[in-house]
Amino acid sequence: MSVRRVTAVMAAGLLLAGLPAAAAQAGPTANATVSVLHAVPGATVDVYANGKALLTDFKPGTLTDPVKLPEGAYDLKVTAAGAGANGAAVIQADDVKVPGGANITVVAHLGADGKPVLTPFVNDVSKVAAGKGRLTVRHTAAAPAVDIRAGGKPVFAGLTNPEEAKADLPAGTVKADVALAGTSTVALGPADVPVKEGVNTIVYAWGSAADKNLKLAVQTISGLHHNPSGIPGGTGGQAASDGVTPVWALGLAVLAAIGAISVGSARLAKVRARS
Amino acid sequence: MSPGRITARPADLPTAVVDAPAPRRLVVTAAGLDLPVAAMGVAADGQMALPPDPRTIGWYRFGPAPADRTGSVVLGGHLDSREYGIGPLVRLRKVRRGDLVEVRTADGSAHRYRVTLVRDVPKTLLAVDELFDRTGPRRLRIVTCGGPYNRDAGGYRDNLMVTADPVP
Repeated sequence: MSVRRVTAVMAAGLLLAGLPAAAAQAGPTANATVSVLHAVPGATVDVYANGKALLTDFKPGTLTDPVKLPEGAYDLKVTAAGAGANGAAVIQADDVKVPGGANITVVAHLGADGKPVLTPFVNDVSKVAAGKGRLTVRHTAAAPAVDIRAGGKPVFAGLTNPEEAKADLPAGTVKADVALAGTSTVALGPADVPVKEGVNTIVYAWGSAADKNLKLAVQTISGLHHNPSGIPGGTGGQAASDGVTPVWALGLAVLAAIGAISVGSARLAKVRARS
Repeated sequence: MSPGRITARPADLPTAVVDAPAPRRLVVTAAGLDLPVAAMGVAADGQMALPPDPRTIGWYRFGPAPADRTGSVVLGGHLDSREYGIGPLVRLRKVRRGDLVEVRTADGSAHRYRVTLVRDVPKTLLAVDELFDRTGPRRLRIVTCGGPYNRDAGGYRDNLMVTADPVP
């Protein structure tokens, strides 16, 4: 496999895991959260950061747990498993910047031309509206532009390697497939993709169309939920005029009825509308 | 950190998600309450959706269930409705600290709680992040309406909230 140098805009954390001294010197810097996905078919690899082994026997289709790493810049090298620190690079990326505070997934995958590359994706970990989940799709396969379809209809059209698209959807299950852009030729799927409430479900299309080994990989980031804004309680008002409601409440209700506290009521309504 | 410390796992499509069994029935003997529980989500206005019939109480299905190890199980129901009239939750006000509450779940188990707090909270001050908490101690929250009713201001002014802790 040919060596490819990649100038990643931001990426690959692991590094620091192998560099405790550098971490100690980093001082009060922000951490980044970094996961790594191996999406190059057929190659079990080792990953080095600044010459130190970080991941060994890393298999295609596997994803690391997220690790917290101080921000910084690192040199990354991916070699065949067991090749050693001086072994030939399958992929190399120097001076990869890991910004503090970001949540990143570094993906080793095939470019559209079939050559292995490293792409750092920034994961959207902003809150999702109550009752919704986020679906992110990433094209990391040696394949032409594709449409991501749900129920046979394109929802993300013309996605090319290494682009991503995302949407916040009502929580549920999406029957998704991947079709060649502008056609109904299904390249992958369909698959039932659970879009869980408060979770960013990230789906990767990876592998090679030419080698007929296209697959899906999935990463989930949870805890992004928003809570409901409140709980309504009654629509009738009958209970307010039976004996169970305290007398003071009835008094207030009467006052409200004659407009004595209408200013206060209007303010309450405004606050509710805003929440 | 040694290389082996970073764990990797197959990035497969999640198989069927196994959720904790949903609540099916709420029983508060001290207040004469025994009503079915329906799993509910979020209404169009962003509030928790409630069953239209006040004789059924809703469970916020995106939050914790009784068997989950953390967070608040939230049950909410209408006090009354224009269509159905006054519902049984009008008796929630009779609940006192120390009363026992039972929630039966779909798997047939009964989860018991003891009431620790009964209070009225103006809806505008309802601390929703505390109410719908998913990571804190296990709790049960039963919420309906309270306070005066003012149709022009959106109905009842307050939420009546009963908080109960699990009985070991």
